[in-house]
Amino acid sequence: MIDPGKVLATFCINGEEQACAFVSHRTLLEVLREDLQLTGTKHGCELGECGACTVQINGVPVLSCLMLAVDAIGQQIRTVEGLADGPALHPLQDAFADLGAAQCGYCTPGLLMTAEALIARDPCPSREAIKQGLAGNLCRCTGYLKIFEAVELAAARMRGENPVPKRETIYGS
Amino acid sequence: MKPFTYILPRSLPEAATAAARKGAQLKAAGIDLIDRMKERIETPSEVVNLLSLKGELSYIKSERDSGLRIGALTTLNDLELDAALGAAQFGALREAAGRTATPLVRNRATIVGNLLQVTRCWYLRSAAFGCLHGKKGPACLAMTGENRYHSVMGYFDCVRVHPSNLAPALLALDAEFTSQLGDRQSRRKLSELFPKEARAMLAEHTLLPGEIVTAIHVPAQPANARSAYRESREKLSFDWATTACAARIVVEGGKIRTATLVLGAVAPVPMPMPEAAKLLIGEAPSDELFQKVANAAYQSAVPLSQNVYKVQVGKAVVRETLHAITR
Amino acid sequence: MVLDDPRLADAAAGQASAKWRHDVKKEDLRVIGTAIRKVDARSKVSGLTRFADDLSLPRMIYMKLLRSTQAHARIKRVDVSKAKAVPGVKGILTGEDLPTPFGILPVSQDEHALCPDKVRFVGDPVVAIAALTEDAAWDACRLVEVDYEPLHTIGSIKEAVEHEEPRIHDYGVRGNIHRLENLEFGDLAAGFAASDHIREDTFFFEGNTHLPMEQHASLAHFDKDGKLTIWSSTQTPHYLHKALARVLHPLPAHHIRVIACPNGGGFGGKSDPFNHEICAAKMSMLTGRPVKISLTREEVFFCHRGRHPVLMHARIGVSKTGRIKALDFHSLLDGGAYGSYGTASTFYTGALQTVTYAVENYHFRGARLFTNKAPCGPKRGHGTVQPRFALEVQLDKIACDLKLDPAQMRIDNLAPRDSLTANFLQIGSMGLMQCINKVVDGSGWKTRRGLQERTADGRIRGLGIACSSYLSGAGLPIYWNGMPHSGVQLKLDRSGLVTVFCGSTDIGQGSDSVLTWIIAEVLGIDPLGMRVVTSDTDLTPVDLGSYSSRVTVMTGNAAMQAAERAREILAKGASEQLQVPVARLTFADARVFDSENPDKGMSFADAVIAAESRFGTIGTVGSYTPPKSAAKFRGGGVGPSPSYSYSATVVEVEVDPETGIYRVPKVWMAHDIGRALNAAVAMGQIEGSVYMGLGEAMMEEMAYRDRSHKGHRIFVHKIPSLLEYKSPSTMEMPEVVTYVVEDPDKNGPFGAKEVGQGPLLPIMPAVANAIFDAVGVRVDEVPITPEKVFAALVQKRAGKVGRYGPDELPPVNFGDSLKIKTPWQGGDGTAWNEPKRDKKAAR
Repeated sequence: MIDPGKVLATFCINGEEQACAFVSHRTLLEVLREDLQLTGTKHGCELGECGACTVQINGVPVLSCLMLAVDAIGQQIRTVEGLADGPALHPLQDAFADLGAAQCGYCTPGLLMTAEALIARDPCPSREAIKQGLAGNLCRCTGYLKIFEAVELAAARMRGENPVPKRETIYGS
Repeated sequence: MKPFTYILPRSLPEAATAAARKGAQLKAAGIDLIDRMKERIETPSEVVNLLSLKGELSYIKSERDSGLRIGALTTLNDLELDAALGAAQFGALREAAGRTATPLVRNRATIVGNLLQVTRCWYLRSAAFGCLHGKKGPACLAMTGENRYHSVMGYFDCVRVHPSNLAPALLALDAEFTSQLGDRQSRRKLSELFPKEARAMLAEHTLLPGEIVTAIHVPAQPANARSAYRESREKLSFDWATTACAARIVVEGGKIRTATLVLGAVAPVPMPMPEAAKLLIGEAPSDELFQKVANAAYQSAVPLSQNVYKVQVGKAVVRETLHAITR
Repeated sequence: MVLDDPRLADAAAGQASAKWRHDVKKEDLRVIGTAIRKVDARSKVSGLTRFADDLSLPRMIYMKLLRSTQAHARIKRVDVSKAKAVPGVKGILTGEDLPTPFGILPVSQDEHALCPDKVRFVGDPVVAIAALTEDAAWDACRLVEVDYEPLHTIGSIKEAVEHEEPRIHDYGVRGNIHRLENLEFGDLAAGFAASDHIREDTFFFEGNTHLPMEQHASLAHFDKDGKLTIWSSTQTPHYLHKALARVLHPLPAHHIRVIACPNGGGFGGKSDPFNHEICAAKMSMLTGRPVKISLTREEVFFCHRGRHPVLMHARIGVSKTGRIKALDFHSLLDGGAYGSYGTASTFYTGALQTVTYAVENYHFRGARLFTNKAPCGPKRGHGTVQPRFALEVQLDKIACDLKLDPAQMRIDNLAPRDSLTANFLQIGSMGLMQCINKVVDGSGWKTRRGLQERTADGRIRGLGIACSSYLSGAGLPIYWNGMPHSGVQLKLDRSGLVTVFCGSTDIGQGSDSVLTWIIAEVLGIDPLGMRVVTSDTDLTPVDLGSYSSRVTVMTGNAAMQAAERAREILAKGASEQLQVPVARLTFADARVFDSENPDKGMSFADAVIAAESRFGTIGTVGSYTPPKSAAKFRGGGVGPSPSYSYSATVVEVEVDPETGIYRVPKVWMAHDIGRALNAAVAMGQIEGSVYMGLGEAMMEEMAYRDRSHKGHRIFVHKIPSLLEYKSPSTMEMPEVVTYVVEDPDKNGPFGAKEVGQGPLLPIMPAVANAIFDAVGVRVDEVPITPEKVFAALVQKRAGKVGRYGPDELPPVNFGDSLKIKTPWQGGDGTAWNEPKRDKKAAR
């Protein structure tokens, strides 16, 4: 039983143990952003309606705004801050940057966490699989097309191929 | 959110006892509950976290008779991807699970959570309005108000629609459920989970305080059975159905031998349509036949001021479902 | 030439710009036109970009606003005594603490940060409370007692026209009419008399909202030196600065610092100064602590300022071949509860019809009404979107009437390049014909249209075409002044670092990057190596903001000028050191060298050192003011722009004739943007426009529930949430074939024009036209929901006209029109019947 008020817990975030005292009814999103200053994870509604707050729990992308932080204790939490390997960006981050798949960049962290899990499950996702897989992340800037292309580009790079973005992707038809 | 005491039960009976206390609220993934708590539509003093029992309540097991036993905390994503649900007979359940909300929701949302989520009626969920079903007003506001997404049949004094899209699929497959009340377990038909007369003042389900649904049973399906689930919606993701249909059919020698048909999102409870299904028996599948069945399924429809269109779309969805099974 | 003071070196800058003419060849450019990353790409994909809500300060407290539950009511009593007693509450503000009204336009200063005496829509803020936690502030708000005396509620255009009383505001034309415009260019009667075919149509465009992913947030800090800093998600820090200075008077303007954080999407929705921003500032002054407010998604819907619902009537006369002889266009705008940009919005519903197609004689009447709903304002395509829908659908109908090819008929009507329109807008480059040809060829328009092919699942295929034009920035600022619209400063460091300071705001469109590309091209350096300091009113020169697609041209030209001036100084220094004439120096690859002997040169950093040694510390400035407009009549201030972008689209639909449900599998879109400064980023803007256009076409609507509550009506948005406000997900996004058409304009940096608002406009009419091509019914109303398509199909099957849409406009007395002779009538841009006016007063 956890009484109302503050609890002290240790989270495993991006492979690191982090102790944190927080109010017990807070969501994981609130604890990440406000108690741990991990503001890379965003919020667009706080009601599970946009996907901006997506983080991975044990490798599965979930909505951190609808998950109580206490439910995340003892689980492997991964956020956008844990995506890059030191100074080197994750291939998905590189591809998003290369193709302009991040315009305002607000939905980007959530999309990256969803896409990373998607590629981990399916290293060669079809366009349809990408559309389906990202159907829980809203973006209002890009029209999603650059995002689809970036996921394809990153997946190919992660498979060890040396893909070149299509001319139409960058210069139009 | 209002602060609450968080109960982490170690056993089902403990959970059931805790859930029976006044002001307590059961929570699985909490997709719907946390949402309502944030909006302060719900302010429980105690939240009983069933996720503590995830090890015990999350599974999909094939039974000896080739039926399925599904733990209450099984996620929709598990339902969609589990090999045991791959057979054509379970198509309706797999398709319904795969279409719900968004992939991110399906990664956590549970089968029983989907069945027990509260109606999406925008009057009930808006702090600005008090309605009869929410016990904050004298009448159903949607009945005479904005009712584009509301019931076209089966309503009395409240025109909300049942939001679960697993429910029609499971009903079409003759599913049952096991529940725990105190230290007692019982197994009933899934149709009994929903009130017979969906009155405004009644809860949206028939469970007693503290009663916990622990498993869903999908019985062995008739040989050669196939099932499907289709729905209409305004968006292909992030949306609830505007109308839904699940059906299970056995075709032998070119003729339909048995059939079940259940409508969703058109009434305060999921609506089995045995009379309409009966029209299929003994007939060869054809568009003409399906049209007739669709008309019969919506024969009792009494649409409200703004949702006549649901009937038209609903009929098309019935046809599409039947075509999908017999294709 | 006085090189020591580059601000005086205009002549030099003019000379230099000859090198960067708008029609410079692509192969002569190193940065412009390539697909390099945006300067902020790494931080955005790493989650390191700091949006307003990502900021926090020590001792920060949290503010919540108590908002009106009434649509129209007098406030009789506000009692905050119970709220005061809530533990953790640190400050409470009510209307009397902020008595000065404000608003984005000088002509409509009609908002209060907190309503002092009257609420005008559900969501109007009444009380602000700050506390140690957000929950405590929320709880305290719930304990505030407000007594309202309900007033009659005005809920629609029709009601606003019909009810002069009660007035929602005590200013405006009369009753609940906020603005009336009546402009006549040329001779309408003669135009119609000369027409072979005349048709009249009525259209309705429902309101919709921007729905940026980021909810508005602000953090205000009034420090111990008596200076205020506010970080906010705003597209217009300069205008917010002005509003704060006005409301917080006597706090001096130079004690107020506005920092616009990168916006998590704006689309026009963060262009007004907002009550929550002003309240946060005042609350910080009251409590002496940093104050944060993060709006809920519901509150973002209350901020709104989105697309106006517009009822439109158009009477058009054409020749046998479809040439437009006369157009009589009439629009009624539902403005919601406040003025916002509404005056401009009203004019914009009439301004750009003439910029796409030549209209010989043109009459525009527009009225904006106040209603008790969230205020409307500028959304992507501001005010031009709704009339574009009407015009493009009407042209399709005419083509059908006259049995003409709608694409060819549009080509035959094109407004000529380098011409003045009937309403005195100056067209420069005009690549619309090329755009139309691209989408016609790409889509197989000539062979695939009108076939009513069936898809495998029984749907019927159709193609629709539509075009549009849009501004590259408004020709006039929001408030009258003679100063530049954009200012840029450059600081050149001995290390070779170039830092650019500019008031422009990156809302995701890439304005920070635009600055770097232009400067890097001129100075021959790597844009990713530059430092960008933007949107900070203490540090950066004024730029009017990220609205009306003005940044590329206006900020870009200012950056160009600053860079050219810097180049001039560097060239002088390098020339002396290298003993090479200035004219022979090339700046490229972070070097300055002799173009005839490239080995003879120096690094860019050494060039800075050489120049600094010679002239002292190096900083330059650049600024931009748009060309003067030829339109001198009252109302002529809305519509002029340095250049206009053009778009053409073909949309393919597949319609289920049984239900009216349709999908859009493919879109062909061509956008004439003058020149693509960055190809990939331009593509992203175009695709984003297609997306947002499809959302408006298919599903998005800011619709209200009209509900009687204790005997009077109130209007509540239909659950203001991302679920109930339908917007397209990945699953709705079609394949898009994008054509970037480059018809360089002499007023743009490197010939660039606007990108990213224009291509939204033709989507809605093209969808409507495609549905007609497929199933022969007209939906003259946006959004084009399946239900409306179905309703039109039912009509058609019953032997009636297969149409869904409004029948008529409520009658409004527009009075006499201002009469303006067109350029081809010898007009000089003034109205011949306009009463003489005091110039200052008119402004």
